[in-house]
Amino acid sequence: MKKNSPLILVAILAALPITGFARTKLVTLPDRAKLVTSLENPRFTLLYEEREIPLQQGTNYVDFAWNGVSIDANSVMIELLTNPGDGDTATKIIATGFPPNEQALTWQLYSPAARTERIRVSYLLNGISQDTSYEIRMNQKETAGDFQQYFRMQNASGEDLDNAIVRLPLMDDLTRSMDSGEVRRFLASRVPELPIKKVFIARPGYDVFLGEDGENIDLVYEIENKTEAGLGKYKLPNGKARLYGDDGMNSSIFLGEDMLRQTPPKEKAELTLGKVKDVVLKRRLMKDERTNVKTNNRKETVMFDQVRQVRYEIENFKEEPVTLKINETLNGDWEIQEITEAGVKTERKSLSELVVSVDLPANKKGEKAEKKVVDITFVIKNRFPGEK
Amino acid sequence: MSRWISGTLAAALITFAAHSPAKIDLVTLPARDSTELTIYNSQDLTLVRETRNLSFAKGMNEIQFSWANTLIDPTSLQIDLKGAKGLTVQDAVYPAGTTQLIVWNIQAEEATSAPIEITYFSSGLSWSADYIVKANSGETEFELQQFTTVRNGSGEDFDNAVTRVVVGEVNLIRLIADLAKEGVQLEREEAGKAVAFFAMDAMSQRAAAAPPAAMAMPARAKEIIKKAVSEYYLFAVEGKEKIENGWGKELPNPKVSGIPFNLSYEIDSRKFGDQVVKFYKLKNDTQAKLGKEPLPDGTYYVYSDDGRGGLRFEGSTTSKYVPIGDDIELNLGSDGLVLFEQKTMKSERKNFDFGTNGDVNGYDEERTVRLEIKNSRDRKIPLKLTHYIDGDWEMIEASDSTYERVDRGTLRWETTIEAGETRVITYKAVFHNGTRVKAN
Repeated sequence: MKKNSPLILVAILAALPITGFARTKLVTLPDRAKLVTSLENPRFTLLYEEREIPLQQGTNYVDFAWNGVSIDANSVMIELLTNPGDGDTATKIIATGFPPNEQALTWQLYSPAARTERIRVSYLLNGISQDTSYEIRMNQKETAGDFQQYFRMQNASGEDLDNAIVRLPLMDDLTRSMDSGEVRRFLASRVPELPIKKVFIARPGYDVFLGEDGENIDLVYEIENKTEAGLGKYKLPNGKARLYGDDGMNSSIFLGEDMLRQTPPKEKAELTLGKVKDVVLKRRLMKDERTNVKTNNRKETVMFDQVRQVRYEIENFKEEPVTLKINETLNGDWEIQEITEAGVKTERKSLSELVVSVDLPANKKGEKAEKKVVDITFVIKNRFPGEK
Repeated sequence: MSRWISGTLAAALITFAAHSPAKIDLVTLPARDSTELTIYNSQDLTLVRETRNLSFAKGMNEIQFSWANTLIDPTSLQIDLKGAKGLTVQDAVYPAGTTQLIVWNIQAEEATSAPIEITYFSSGLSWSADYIVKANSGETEFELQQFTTVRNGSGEDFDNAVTRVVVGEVNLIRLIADLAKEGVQLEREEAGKAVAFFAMDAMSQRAAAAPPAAMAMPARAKEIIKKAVSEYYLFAVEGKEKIENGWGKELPNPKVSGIPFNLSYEIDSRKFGDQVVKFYKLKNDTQAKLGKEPLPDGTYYVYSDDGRGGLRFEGSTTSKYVPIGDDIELNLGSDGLVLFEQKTMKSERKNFDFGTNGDVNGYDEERTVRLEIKNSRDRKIPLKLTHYIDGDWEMIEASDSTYERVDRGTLRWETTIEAGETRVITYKAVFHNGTRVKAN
């Protein structure tokens, strides 16, 4: 395969007078001794390459030119690795020249002796993009899964990367060749048995009651980015997660996919995969009354307290106990006045979010599912007309 | 490649009778003996000072200076005979029908030769500062290298030029580029007022007296000599440079290693939205091994040691001019390892003010707000949290009262969050509405 080589590094061996920036692009074209593609910063791709260049005693000119690739010229940096420093024996970078109308620059190096210098040239290269994806293969009990994190790298830079060290934040260096136009996917990390919690979450609208039709219940898997779970070392970047389930027949089914949002260590990620059919929630508005109504001289209502009772009728048709979470959206100065069912937990997440958790026993095979009815009464104080 | 030869100087050796100044353009073409460029970054302005050794015949001499295809402001041209005895500038003539030519009539008492100095303004040259920052893997110290890049788009090649750059804002009534285009529109008085000239100081004299560059090749990066002049700062590059038209040239300053800095995070919704932004902070002072001169505005490219023998690109950021002793704050964006969440937890209306007709004319609202910061880094971090509260409000209670009330609507906490810590700050404030409003 023909290789693109848009990056050219030329060392001009002849020592030129300092005032001469006339560049004769002759002499050696040193091979890359090492090429690193660093993708540790998700927004920028840093390439650095090391080369051995022969230097003559005195002033040397090294051309670095590119064509057909997009490089941030201001980011191009040279470092001397063999003879760095300020001493008399060190190689020195005297100046950098930017020629007109060219994608190139010229380094003016001074060497006190004829010798070989290893240099590292680094620059920000456009056109290399990356993303992350996840695959999780659940066990049959859906309590843990084989968690695999992949990096996908697309090289549209115009530059072929031969034997490049690919440096990713989550894993040991990889050495890969990657032609321009290619996309490659790498397995970045794997946890064979990552604990996973399966939860059912309903997210009804404040004033939308579907009654007999039943509310939508999301199937959600929770994973925690923590060391006890086998992760927790790095944040998990944004990426699409696909989950597969063990079908018990030496095969698997696709459970669904969701975007895993960036999750720092010790944080929890929620993946919503589909809708739950074997748990049914019917939500009804049983009461919506005004009390403590205050009126003005014109007998118009100026303020009132709102009493609102919501009923949940819940049935679990699964042969295992489940916990159903209902995320209620609220507003105003609200409080829970009464809950009719013992054991129902509530957590005020914020002024606008209340999470109601209801434990449901397993359904006995062949028997009618037990219906659990929970009434929650809210009081919302000091409402103004127009608020409900 | 074609090169424009400009700044052509021709001296007429023939002496004319005062009444018959027929102009002869030929004769000697003395080369520049030295050139000094003083380049500003706040305006498209460069003061060019060049010296040439000229021979004069007894009587009137015409010294002709032309500048085709360059960006010279013709109103700025000055000639200085440097006090040569027996030489007098009689006048300067912009000949009719020419746009890029000046003739100085110089009376010589005797035949002689003398160094003369010509100064003028040119546009098209510029300079900028760039910085490379390389932090250690623990992000406690970094190495700083400043680069001065000069770009020449003036149309003129400069050889053996002493190069000086000026940090500071200089006022101009007219842009030099406009004056260069217009030709001779006599506004020299205004132009002369507009720009501060610098006396030839010790460092430029030293540089001007340096041996030819090819012989004076330093075995190191050139020193950048820095000096305060009035309200400006002058950076002079050691030795002489060749800067051809169209080229840019980047000159490195010596590196400064082991600069201690503070890693810090900031939350400020009006500045950074919902991101928690990472900063490298330090002062331009001797404690940070800096503080000898101000840092010109420029772009900082920030890297850190990736712990694997390479570099990690942290980000690039621009910084304004930093005076000596002032703060350097490098904004590196969010690293996703420190999170912030703000929630209103409770809202209660009370203290209703009913009007005589029974309407609600005013009330108070007590609001409980929760601010949560999660540090998932493996090190403790300093944090500056700036929080805004609009309206007519008063604080009732706060779980952390160490905040500074920056102004009536701004609170600021400066604290440290331990590695792995989740810090929660809650406060309750009362907001006055309608007739309950107490403030303007």
